[in-house]
Amino acid sequence: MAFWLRTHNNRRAHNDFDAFMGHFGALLRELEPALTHQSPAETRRGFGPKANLFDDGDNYVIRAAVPGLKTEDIHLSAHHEGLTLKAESSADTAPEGYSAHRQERASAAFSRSFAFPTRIDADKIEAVLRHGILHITVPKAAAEKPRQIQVRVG
Amino acid sequence: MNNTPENNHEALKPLSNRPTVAPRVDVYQNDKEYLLLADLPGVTQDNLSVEIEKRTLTLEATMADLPELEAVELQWRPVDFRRTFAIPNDVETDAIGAKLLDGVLRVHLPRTQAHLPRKIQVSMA
Repeated sequence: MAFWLRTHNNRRAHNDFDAFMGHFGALLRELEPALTHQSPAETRRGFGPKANLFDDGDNYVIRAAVPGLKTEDIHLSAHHEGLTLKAESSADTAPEGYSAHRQERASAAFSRSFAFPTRIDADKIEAVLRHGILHITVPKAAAEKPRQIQVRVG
Repeated sequence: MNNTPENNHEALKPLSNRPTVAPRVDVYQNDKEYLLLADLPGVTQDNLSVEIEKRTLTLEATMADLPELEAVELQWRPVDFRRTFAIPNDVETDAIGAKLLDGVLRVHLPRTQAHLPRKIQVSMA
């Protein structure tokens, strides 16, 4: 998402309208916290955790960075075309009995879907949470795996 | 090891091209302590150092490498983490404790109780 925003800004020609919108945007940003009472962490909701996707031939392998989440916070569901990863808020809006001095960590709930280039075997998906990284192994549907074809001499 | 003829191609690899970034932290407080939470995904205890020197707390950590598989899409790369904090004056540095769990480092910085208001008994002369 961030990449798209960057290229979009480069293409816009600089003109007076842009300058006006720039000022207006700055004014909105100043007013917004007062109007909506949202912390920076909450306004980031929606995009979900950063995830890397690998292909080891037989499986797709996902590594999603989810520090602070416990297995009970994570909901993973699959159907034959894709995978949905959801999490509740990691409940770190000032722990009980403390006041917040600084908050940079995202605490928003998220829902994120993964679509795969080939069909997958939803029954055989495995997921392990280790040191704040979620490791998901998604086997490809048997028909989709690359197969060696024997060449015979005719 | 890296200079044997079979491994000559290693010499052309760039030196560690990992960026060093500051981990995101939350800092909370109550009368008893400051609580610092730092997001350190992919970091294990052996790859983490928490050091105190005078009144500075330094966190340094390194993430595990990516698996050596064909990448379809990469949204994050392993980085090194580093961040320093000034320890408030009312912290008992000897009693600072830290715990790493689920990719989050929790540092407890107990406060001396001297900052709490104290009632002074007034005796009648």
